[in-house]
Amino acid sequence: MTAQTGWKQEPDDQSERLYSLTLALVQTEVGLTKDEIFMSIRGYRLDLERAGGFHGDLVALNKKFDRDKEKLRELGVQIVPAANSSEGDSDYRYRISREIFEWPEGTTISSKQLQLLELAASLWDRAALSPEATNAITRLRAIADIGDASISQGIAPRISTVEPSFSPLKKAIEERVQVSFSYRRADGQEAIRTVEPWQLAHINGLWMLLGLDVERGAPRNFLLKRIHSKVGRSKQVITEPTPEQIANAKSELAEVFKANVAKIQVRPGTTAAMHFETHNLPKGEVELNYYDLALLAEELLEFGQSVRVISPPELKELIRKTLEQVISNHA
Amino acid sequence: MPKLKFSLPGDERYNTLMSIVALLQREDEMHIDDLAEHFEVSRESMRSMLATLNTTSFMPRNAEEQLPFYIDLDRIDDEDGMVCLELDNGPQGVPTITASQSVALLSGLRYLKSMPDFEESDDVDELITLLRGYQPVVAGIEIEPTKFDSDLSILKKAILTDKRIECLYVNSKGEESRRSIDPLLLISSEDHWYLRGYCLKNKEVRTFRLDHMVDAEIVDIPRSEDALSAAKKLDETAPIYSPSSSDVEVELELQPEAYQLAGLVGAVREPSKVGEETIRVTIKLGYLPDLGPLVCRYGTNARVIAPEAAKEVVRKFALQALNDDTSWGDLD
Repeated sequence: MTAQTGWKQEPDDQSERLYSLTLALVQTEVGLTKDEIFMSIRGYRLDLERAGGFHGDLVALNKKFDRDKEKLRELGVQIVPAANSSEGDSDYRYRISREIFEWPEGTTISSKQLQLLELAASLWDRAALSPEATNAITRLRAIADIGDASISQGIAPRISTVEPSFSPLKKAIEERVQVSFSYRRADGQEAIRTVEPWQLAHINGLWMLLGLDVERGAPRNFLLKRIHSKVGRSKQVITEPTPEQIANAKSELAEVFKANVAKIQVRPGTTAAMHFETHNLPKGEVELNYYDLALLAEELLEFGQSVRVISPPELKELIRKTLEQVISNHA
Repeated sequence: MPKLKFSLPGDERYNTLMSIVALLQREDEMHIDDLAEHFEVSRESMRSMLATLNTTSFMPRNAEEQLPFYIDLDRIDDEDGMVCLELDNGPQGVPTITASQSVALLSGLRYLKSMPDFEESDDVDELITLLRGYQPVVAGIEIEPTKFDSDLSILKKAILTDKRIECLYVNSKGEESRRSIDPLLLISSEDHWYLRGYCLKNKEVRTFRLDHMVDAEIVDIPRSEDALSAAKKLDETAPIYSPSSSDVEVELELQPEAYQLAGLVGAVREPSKVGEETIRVTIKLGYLPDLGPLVCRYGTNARVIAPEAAKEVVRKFALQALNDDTSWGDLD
């Protein structure tokens, strides 16, 4: 590695202040009061001096401290009250439990395992979970063996989260709050749905929200790409779903997929024949499973005149109508 | 070789500072270049973070201000480049990972485990066991195993053993041919896998869709020098479609059901909103007829705005598909 141009000195930023705050609160046995924290940490002390000491206007400084506490909480570092200290006390004392630094005894990661973790994290490159994956890897590097980091696995798996609803739904799931959004069903009907969100599942290349449809009182699956509004949040806190509820929702989905069968014919020597693996079949006919007609139509429309639907007739009709609309949209 | 970072976002910088200390406490001393490589940052960025550790200070309750760590920067700059904590009063270790960090890595590991050649990996199993302890009872995000192309395993083996492959390939013009390819990298994007490889026929690096390829087999010929030199320049994070200056710009309007199209091809500038949820994007295409299947797939949820030639391509593609029923008799 050689020096490269374009590098800039890092500013004295929040990360350094948070780092100092973490050290100070981990090392204290009895905890630190807010005043002691403001005097102990350089990032706060400078603001305190500028404000003219503890008798000055400390509104901005207090807000800064609150933001930092929230940021540390997001980073998984919880600031807790020290023993015998509770909210409202004039000498309320803060500390950070050492428990968050305690990995299972003897935990180490080989350099090969670190590469596998990097590969797993790379799945989220340019997608919504990229910061989480990168930050996890950074922490895991501390317990990883030093090794050759340049061996390629020859693959770069990636997943995308282009749906704007992904991040708000993820947050709602983490915070266990109810959501509502406008949802356009496969038949084009649009309605507001209120949902207790359970899980975002990536199934067959599609992001789906599994959750409890509040009005229907039953579990439902929602395709993220059919959400046609911002995701609204209510203050209604929901109960955590059980693994059985998630498993049942997925198994119902799998049953729908299995029960829906369409038959198509594929023209030989085309990309469609490769895609549907009909190149060795004499008639080029193949049966396909599907979640709903609109999704299957989407897959078939890409291949234009290289495929034709044999059954069901509703699929044939849907494709015909869609093609007519595409023609009219591009006239 | 992974790309080295010259500047880290705040969260990552915080975590890196923590991890550097934990690693130095474990390893006693390390060369700055090894340390920088381990954290995938430039030497300069690592030097900056080590300097930060030296200036980090706090005053414990009723005590003098203290420096928890001291790193001899002169030794790094002017002597043997070794880094160690001369003074070490800091906490031991690094924070464990959060639930959402664990979910991000576990979903990736489970995806890997469903891939050919990783199913039996003890390393992946061990990592899943380790990380599982940090995720909630029900993970908020899960990636279900997907169906992998049968050629994926063969191509991966060819890359790792430095061998050429041959296969039958149909390009987007519908031309079928036997290809010799020196494979470089397998990339998944949206719901497809792609091979980036040096095409012996075209004498350049090309991208091949795996579901347009069949009968891939490894031939006992090492990959060419041209392919290996191309491999060194390969950016693993580059989008599947890299626009060139000769490409045609196409403006499209997309409903949420078709946002994926912009992700697949890559918008050349920030999309703009034209309705509640409708966006307008500009993409670049090297071969305009590719637009037919691309737009038609999304039905009424994708619409070409300009140029006219692009609208005509889509209209023609849809017309051919609509009026094609007569020519299928020959197959029976």
